[in-house]
Amino acid sequence: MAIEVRVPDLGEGVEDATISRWRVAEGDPVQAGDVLLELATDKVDTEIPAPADGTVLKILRAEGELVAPGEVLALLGDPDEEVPSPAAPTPQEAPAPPGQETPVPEPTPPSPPRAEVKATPVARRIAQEAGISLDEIQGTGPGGQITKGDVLRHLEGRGAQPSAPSEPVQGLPDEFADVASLPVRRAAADFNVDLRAVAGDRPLSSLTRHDVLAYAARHKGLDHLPTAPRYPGPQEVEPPSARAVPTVHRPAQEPTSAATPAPERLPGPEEEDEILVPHTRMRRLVAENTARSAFTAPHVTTMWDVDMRAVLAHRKAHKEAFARRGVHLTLTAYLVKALVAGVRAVPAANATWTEEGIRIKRRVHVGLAVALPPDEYGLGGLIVPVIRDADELSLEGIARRVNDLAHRARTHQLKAQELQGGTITLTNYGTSGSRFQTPILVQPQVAILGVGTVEKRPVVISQGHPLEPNPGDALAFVPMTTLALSYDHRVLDGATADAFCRAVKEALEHWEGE
Amino acid sequence: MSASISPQILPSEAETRLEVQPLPLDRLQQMYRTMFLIRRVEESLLQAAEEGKIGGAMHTAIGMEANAVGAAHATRPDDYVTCTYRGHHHALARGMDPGQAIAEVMGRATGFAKGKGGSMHFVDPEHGLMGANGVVAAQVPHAAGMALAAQLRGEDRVALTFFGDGALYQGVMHETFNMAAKWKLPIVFYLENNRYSEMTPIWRTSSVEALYRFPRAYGIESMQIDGNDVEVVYTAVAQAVERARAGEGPTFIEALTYRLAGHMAGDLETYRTEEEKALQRQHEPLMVLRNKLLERGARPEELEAIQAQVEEEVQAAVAFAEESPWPDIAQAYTDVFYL
Amino acid sequence: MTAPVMAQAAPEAAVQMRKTTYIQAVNEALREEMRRDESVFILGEDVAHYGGLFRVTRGLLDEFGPQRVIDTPISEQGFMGMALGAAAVGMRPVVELMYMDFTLVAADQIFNQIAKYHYMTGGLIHLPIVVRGQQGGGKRYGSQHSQCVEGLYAHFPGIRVVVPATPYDAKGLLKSAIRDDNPVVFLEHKMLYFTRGEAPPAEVEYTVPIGLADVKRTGQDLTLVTYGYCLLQALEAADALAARYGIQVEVVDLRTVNPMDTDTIWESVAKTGRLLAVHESYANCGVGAEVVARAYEEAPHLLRAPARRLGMAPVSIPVSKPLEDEILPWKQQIMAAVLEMMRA
Repeated sequence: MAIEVRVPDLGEGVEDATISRWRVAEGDPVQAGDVLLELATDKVDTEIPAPADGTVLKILRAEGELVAPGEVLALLGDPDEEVPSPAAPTPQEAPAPPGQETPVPEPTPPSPPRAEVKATPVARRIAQEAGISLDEIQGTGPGGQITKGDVLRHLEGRGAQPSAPSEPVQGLPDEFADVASLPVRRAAADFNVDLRAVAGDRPLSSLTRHDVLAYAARHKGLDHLPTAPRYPGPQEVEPPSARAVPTVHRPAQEPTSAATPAPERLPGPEEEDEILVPHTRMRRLVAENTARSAFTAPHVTTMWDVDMRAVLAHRKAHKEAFARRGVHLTLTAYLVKALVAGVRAVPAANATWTEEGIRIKRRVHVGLAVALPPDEYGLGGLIVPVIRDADELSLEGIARRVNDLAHRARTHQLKAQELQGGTITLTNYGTSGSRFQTPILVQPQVAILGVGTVEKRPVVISQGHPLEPNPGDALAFVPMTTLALSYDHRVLDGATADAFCRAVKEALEHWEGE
Repeated sequence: MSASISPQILPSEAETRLEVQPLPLDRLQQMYRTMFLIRRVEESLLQAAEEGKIGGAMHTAIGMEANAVGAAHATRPDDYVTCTYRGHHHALARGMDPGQAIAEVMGRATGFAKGKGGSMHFVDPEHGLMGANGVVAAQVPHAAGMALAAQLRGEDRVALTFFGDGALYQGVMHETFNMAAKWKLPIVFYLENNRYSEMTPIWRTSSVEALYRFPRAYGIESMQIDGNDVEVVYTAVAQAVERARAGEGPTFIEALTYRLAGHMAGDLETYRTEEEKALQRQHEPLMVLRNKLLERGARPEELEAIQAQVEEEVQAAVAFAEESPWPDIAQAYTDVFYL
Repeated sequence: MTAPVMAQAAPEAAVQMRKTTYIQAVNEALREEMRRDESVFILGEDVAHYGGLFRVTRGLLDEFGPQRVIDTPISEQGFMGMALGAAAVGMRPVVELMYMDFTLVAADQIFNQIAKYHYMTGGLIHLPIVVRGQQGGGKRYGSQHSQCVEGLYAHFPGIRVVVPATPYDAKGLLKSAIRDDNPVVFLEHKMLYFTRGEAPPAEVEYTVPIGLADVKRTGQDLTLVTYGYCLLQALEAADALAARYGIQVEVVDLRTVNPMDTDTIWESVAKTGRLLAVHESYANCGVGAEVVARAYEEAPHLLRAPARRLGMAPVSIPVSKPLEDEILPWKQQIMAAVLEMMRA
C-alpha cells in the first residue's frame, strides 16, 4: 500500500508554498527522515522528510508549482508496487475566520485557504471580493492554477464586475511624469510645438495628441488641425461582440460571411512579468496619509540616546506582579508614559498647526503605531489605535491599553473611533530591530516619537569633567536605545523639540514610581 | 613643383608666390588677437573633452588659425561662408561669441543652436557663417547655392567654402566645380590642406600630388599658398573675392597648413611622428605672425597684454558655458519644422 | 516667423469647374507661384529647354527665362546641395528629380542635410525647398525607374511628404508646398499625368493645406486609406466591391503622408471598425505599417477586426508586363484584401 507524502501544516496564515527543489527522483529508495523536497513559503523555507522507508513511486507535483497544505506531493511504497491513482487531496481544517465586530480601515480578511483549488493570490482576492467560489472557475495557469485572467473571464461571462480591477491605475510613478507619449512627441515635432508651453504646470505625461494639435491650431495658424477628437473615446465604444456585423451580399460561389469573432484575449502584463495587487483600503489610507503629511509638514527628526537601565530594572522588578494581574508589561508602556512627560515639558508638541494659530491640546491622546503582518509580497499594513487621556493613566493602565489595542489591531477587531483623535504618536520600530528611522507625522499632529531597539552599547562612564580625561573614566556596557522625534518645524524648532526629548530621556533614565 | 600631399612640406614652401602687401600693424595685432583666441578656445575645449564635459566627436583647428582669420578679414560680413566640421576657427574668426560657442559644444541651452548642433554644426548667419557640416564635402554645393542665389538676385555677395584635402575625392566636389565654373558663380573654394584626411595621410589615398591642379580641369583659376601666414591668406582670398564680385567666376585656393592637434579629441595620432610635428611647429601660424609683428616694431609687452586679455575672455567664456543650464527636454521636439 | 505655412483657401463654391489634366495642374501651380514670388526658381535635368522629360515644366523657360528655369548637369547631389544653399539665403528652389528613384543619388543632401538643417542649426536657418518628380510603376521602366519613395521620405523627420492623386489636389497642394517654409517632397506618379479631373479655372486662386486627408468615397463597411495613384485603383476596386458583393468601402485619400491626418482616418474607422492601408511603395516598414501601427497606438478601441496594410512585395520591379502587373498592389489585390478582411 503506497504512502502519501503531503504538504504539512505550514503555520498560521500560510496558505500555500512553492516547491523549490526535489531532492529525490522517482525510483529512488529512501529511508524515513530523508529529505524528499524543499518547500518555500513567504515566511520560511522548509524541508519535507520521508514519512517512512520505501521507494519513491511517483512524484505528483513539479518544481515551481504552488501547493497547499494537505496536498499530496508524492507516493512512497515497494519498488514493484503498482502505483495507485492518488487520492483526492484532503484539505486541512481551515481556521475559523476571526470575528469582525466593526468596520476598521482594513480590508475584509482573506478567506480561508482553499487547499483543493489552486489559484494565485490575486485571483483569490478578486474572486472573494466578487463573491464567487473558485470551484466555479476553470484554471488555465500552470498545473490548472486559476489566474486573475480566469476569474475576470468568468466574471465577464456572468456579467458581474469585479470591484478591485475596475479602478483604473492612476497614472505613472513620479519619475515618469515628463515622459510624453509617442503620439504627443510626434505631434510636437510635426508642428514645432514647445510641449512645456502646452502643458503649463502639468507634467508632459498628461498631454494628449489633441492637446498639442489644439495648441498648434491656435498658435501656429493651422486652423485645419482638429482641436479635439472627432471619433468616440474608448468608453463610448460598445464592445466588439455587441456590434453589428455588416451584411455582405455575395454571389453564390463566394464563401459565406462569418460573424466577426471577439478578439482573442491576451494575457495581461500581471500574468506575465508582473503581478497587480489591487490596493487594499488600508494601503490607500496609508499612502494618502503619509504622502499628504510628507508634503504638508516640514519634517525634522532629532535623535537622542537613552540609557535604559532604570526602566529595565523597574520592569524586571514588577513584571511578575503585573503578570499576576493579567498585564503584560512592555517597554512600550514606559515609553508612552515618558512621552507624556515630554508633553508636560513642551505642551506645543501636543498640538496642531492651523492658519489661525497653533492649537495646543489640553488632553493627551497617544497614538500607537501597530504594524500588521505582511502578506506574501511583503505588503504589510499599519494601523494607529489611540490611548485616550494617556496623561491620566498609571503605568499599569497604559500597559493594559497597549496590550489590548495591539492585540485587537492584529486581529482586526478595532472600532473606528479607537483610531481617531490622537494628538501625538509613538512608534516603536525597535521591535523590528531598527536603531532609528525618521518617522512621518500623523496629520494633523506635530510630533511623533520613534523608539529604536534596546541594545547594549559601550558608554563612557565619567565622574569628572565631561570632556577632559579623568582618571576614573571607564567604559561600561549599557542597554541603550535611540529616540527619534520627528516634528513639524512650523510648530517646534530644534531647541524646543530637544527640550521635549530631554524630558522624555529624563523620565526614562531616572524612572521612579509605581 | 610642390607635392602638397606630403606632410614633410612646410606651408612656406607653397608653389604660388603672391605679391603680398603688408597689412597695417593694428590690423595684424587684431588678427593676432583672434588667432590667439581661437587657439585658447580650442585648447580649453580639448581640456573639457578630456574632463568628460563634451561628448561625441570634436575636431579642433589648432595650427590652422591663420586660414580662418585671414579669410574672414578679406570678406564682408554679408558674404556667405560654409565650412567643415573642423569649423570652430571659422566661426570665431567671423565674430561668434566664444561663450555661445563653448556652450554649444557642451550642449547647453545658451549655445548658438540651443545645444542641438554641437561642435560639428557651427552656424552664425548674423556673421555670414551659414553652416559647418558633419559630412565631408556636403557644405561645398551649399556655398555654390548661396552664390547662385546672389547671382540670381543680382547681389555682389560672394560665397566662400572651406573644405579639407579629404573632400577633394567626394563626387559632389566635382559636381560643384563643374556647375560653379559653367555658371561663373561668385564662389571661392578654399582648401585647408592639412595633409591628413582624418587619420590617413593624404599621400596614401591620392592619385594626384599637387591638389590645386584638380579644379584646373574645370577651367577654374587656382593657386597654392602658405595657409599659415595670415597676410598671405588675406591677400589670396581678397584677390579671389574681387574676381568673384567682378563676375569672373570661381577661384580655388589650396592653402598648405598643418593640424597640430589630433583629428578629434581622443585621437591616438599613431599615424605621424613627433619629428614631423616638430618640423611643422617651426612654421605654425601664431609664431609666424608673432615674429612678423615683432619684426615690424610691435613690442613684446603689447602682445603679452593681448594674450592676457584673451586668456581672461576665454576663462569667462568657459565659465559661462559650464554655468549655463541644460535645455529643457521639450526643446528636443522643436525646430524640426519652421512654423 | 513668417506667415503660416499651411495656407488654406477653399475655392469659391460658385466657381465654375473645368476638366484639366494632372500634368496641366502641376504646370499651372508652378507658373502661378513663379509669377507670385520672384524667389521661386526651378532647377533640374532637362527642365528648361526640353520642358521636362514628362513636359511638366513646358513653357516656363519662355516666360521666366534661364535664370529661373535652370537646366542642370546630371549631378543630383550637387544641385540638391545648391538648392539647400539657395534656400538657406532666402530663395525658394523647386528641384525636379527626373525619376524619384534618383532620390537615392542625392540622398545625403536630402536626408542628412536638407531634412536636418533647421534642427541642427537650432532653428537659425530654415529651408523652403520643394523636391518634386514622378515615381511609380505601370509603364515598364524596370527596377531603377519605377519605385515609389514616399515611405523612404516619411521615415526621416524634417520633410513634409505630399502625394496628391487628383489634378485639383495636385495644384492646390503644390502651391502650398512652394509657400511652405520647410522642405516638401511632392510626389507625382507617371500613371497620373494624363488623368483628368475637375479643378477651378487657371485664374482662380486656391490652395489645399498640407496635412489634411480627404474622404473620396463614403461607405460603412471598411476604411481604405490610400493616396497617389493607388487612390484611383482603390476607387475602382471599391465600386466593383459594391456592385459585386455589396461591400461599401470608405476611401480616405491621405494626400499628405507626413504629417499624417490620422483624425480623418479614425473618424472613418469609428464608423466602419475596419482599416486597410494601401500603397504602391514597399509594404515592409512602410507607410501602411505606420497607419496600422498608429491605429493601435491612438485608437485601438475603434477596430473591430485586425487592421491591415497592402503594399508592394519585397521584390525589385520587373520590366515584363505580366510580372510588373503581378506585383503592383492595384485593383485586383485591393479587392482580394478587402474581401479577405470582410470574411474574417
